[in-house]
Amino acid sequence: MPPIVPISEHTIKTSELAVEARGLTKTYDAGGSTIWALRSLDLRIGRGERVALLGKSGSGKSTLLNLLGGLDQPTSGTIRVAGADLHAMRPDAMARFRLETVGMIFQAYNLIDSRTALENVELPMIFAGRGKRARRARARDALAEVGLSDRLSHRPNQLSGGERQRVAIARALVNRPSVLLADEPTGNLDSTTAREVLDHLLDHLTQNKTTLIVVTHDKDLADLAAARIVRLHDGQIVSEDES
Amino acid sequence: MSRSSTRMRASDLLSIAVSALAQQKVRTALTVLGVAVGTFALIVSISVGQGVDRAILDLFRGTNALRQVAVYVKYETVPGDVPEANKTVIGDMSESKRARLRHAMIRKWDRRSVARVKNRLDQEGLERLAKVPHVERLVPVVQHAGRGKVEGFSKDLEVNFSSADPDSDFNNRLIAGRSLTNDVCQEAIVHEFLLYELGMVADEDVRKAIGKSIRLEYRMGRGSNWSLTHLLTFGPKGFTAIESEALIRALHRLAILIKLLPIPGEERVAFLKLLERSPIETESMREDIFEETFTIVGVMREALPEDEKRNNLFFAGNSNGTDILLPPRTAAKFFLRSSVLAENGLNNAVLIVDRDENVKAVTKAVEASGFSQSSLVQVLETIRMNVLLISLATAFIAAVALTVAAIGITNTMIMSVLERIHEIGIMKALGARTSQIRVIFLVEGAFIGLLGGSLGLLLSWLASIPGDRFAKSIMEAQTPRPVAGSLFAFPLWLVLGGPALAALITMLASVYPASRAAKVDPITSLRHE
Repeated sequence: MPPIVPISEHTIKTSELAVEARGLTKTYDAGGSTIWALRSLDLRIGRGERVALLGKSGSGKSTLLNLLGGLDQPTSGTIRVAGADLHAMRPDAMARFRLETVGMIFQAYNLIDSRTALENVELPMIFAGRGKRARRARARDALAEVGLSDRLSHRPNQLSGGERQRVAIARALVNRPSVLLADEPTGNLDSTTAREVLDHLLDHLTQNKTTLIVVTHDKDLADLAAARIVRLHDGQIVSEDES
Repeated sequence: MSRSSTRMRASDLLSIAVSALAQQKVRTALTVLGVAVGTFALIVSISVGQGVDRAILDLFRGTNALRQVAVYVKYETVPGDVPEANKTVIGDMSESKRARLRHAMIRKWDRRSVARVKNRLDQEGLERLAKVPHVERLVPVVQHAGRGKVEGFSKDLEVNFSSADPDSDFNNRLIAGRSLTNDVCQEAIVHEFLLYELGMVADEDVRKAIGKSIRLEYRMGRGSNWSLTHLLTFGPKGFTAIESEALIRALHRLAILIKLLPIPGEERVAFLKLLERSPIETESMREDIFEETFTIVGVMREALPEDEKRNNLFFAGNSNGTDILLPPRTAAKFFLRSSVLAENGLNNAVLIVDRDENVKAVTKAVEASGFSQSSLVQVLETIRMNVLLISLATAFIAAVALTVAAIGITNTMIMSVLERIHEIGIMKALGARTSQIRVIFLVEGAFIGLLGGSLGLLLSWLASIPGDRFAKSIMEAQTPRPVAGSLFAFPLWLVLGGPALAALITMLASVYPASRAAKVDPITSLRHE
């Protein structure tokens, strides 16, 4: 296979980069044998760009997302997100990076069941040390933006799947991150609800010029959400297209 | 958004901790109960220790007895006074043994005259004691029999007269007139029975005695007094001078404790009467007769059993058996006119110290002056030390109970960490720092301790109400003086410290679970459902 020259290599200036990964490799040890999740991957994403990582299960797209979100460490290679070198970060700095620079949306929502929708959205601001009154107002606004003003006091188990994901979106965006990482954000939703959720998400991104990296195996979702589609296979980028 | 400090607010930490504990109500309640029981035991044991200690202090302070130091003269046998024949050891033996036996022979020399007063409680000795720093008052202890003649009455009366502490119990027994002006005035307080003997029978007659003079005749001669000292000195048992003196001192010390013993009142009164003191007499004693006139300023009624509870002057014996009370310094001056007493001085005196904490310094000064002394401070220190040791022992057992509860908390918290591993992963993915996760669990532990500790405190206070009644019913049946206040003390440091200690212990018990929570890997835990 001839080497792939990513589109970003030619079109994005360094000063405009939101994400830059070089030689990214991630392996796992599984009972003595090595599993290669990512193989010397290079990726550049510009500020405000919307990129979909498309690939089959096990292609490495979620691993890449976790590395970009600072939830995991690469075996080798470097990652810069919003100018921050993740490789050099100590644990506390990494936590601060997750708190302030990136927002994450998960397929399984990952809401805390014992807390209301409002309290779930407040959580990142609690870790940021914001005062109760200010963060409560901000959380209300965030939930209003995703159309959940009437669900503030509901716990996750009292909400539908679409509502839960909208709470998760509000939570991911409440600290106004520069990069939003979404892992199969509509994977558990029916097509109508998925479209509603996506619309809410894209509205926000357009207004705030937030960079979006969405992981999906759904080509339609990738076309809708992203301007650029990066295809992964076996831990490597196999193609990049503009949608 | 504006970048604020990433330090979590205390109210948020507490809110997250309480919210998590509220998720497991039954488990939290049982854990809190375990801590409450441990804290309850700890607080009760300390509270009782503190309460009993306070009650003991009150018991002593209530009588002013704690500020009193009894001073006694010391006797010593001078080897030079012992005839050579009575200190010569005969036979072959080592020099060290000969020295020991010679020492024993001198010690056994039982002639009273050989035992010399080391330092006399004469006028000069009394003045020296009065000048000891922190001595507020000096009360020479004088008690003797003699004859009395009241102005306007021809009848001679056989009377006992003694020195009085003007602050003491007889003030409560005054039925006419007033108390003594001071320690050196020429006044007297007479017993109502004395007036009855003179024919002043009606209740209002006692007032007629006020202002009259009474002439007291002091007469000292062998056989004229039958006191404990006489009995020990001249009685059939034939105690040596040193032995009898030691016995007198021991009995005087016993007098301190006799009032605390659960014995009937009449036995106590009889014992104290046995201690009525008189000067030590010698072979060379001759009869002294002299007299002085005093003005009657007050009349006291007969002492009743309940008066004994108010007796201030522990060491002075009681004034219940006396007919006439004289100002102490005047009494001492009067008796020291006797040639026998002038030679030997008084047997003892009582020093009233300005403050409790100065008693030790005064006792040291008294010892340094060549007198022996006795004070309730020494007795009190021993009792308080015993109470403290018992309290510490019970507190230790209670602390073990609290530790067991804390171990239970470690187990509970580990379970909680395992159950909430997904939640921890979410918090980490959202930007929670490792230290924040750790603190959340530590606060949970501390909150359990604070809650359990406060509940334990409340329970111990509730238990103290019937507990105090029960303990008092036992104590008051055995002590003459009622116990003031509760036997359970809850000083501020215990009220604050009890729950705080429980919180500290439970927080320490949470260190390991909190550390495990902090180390949770977000990727792994997010997969965990």
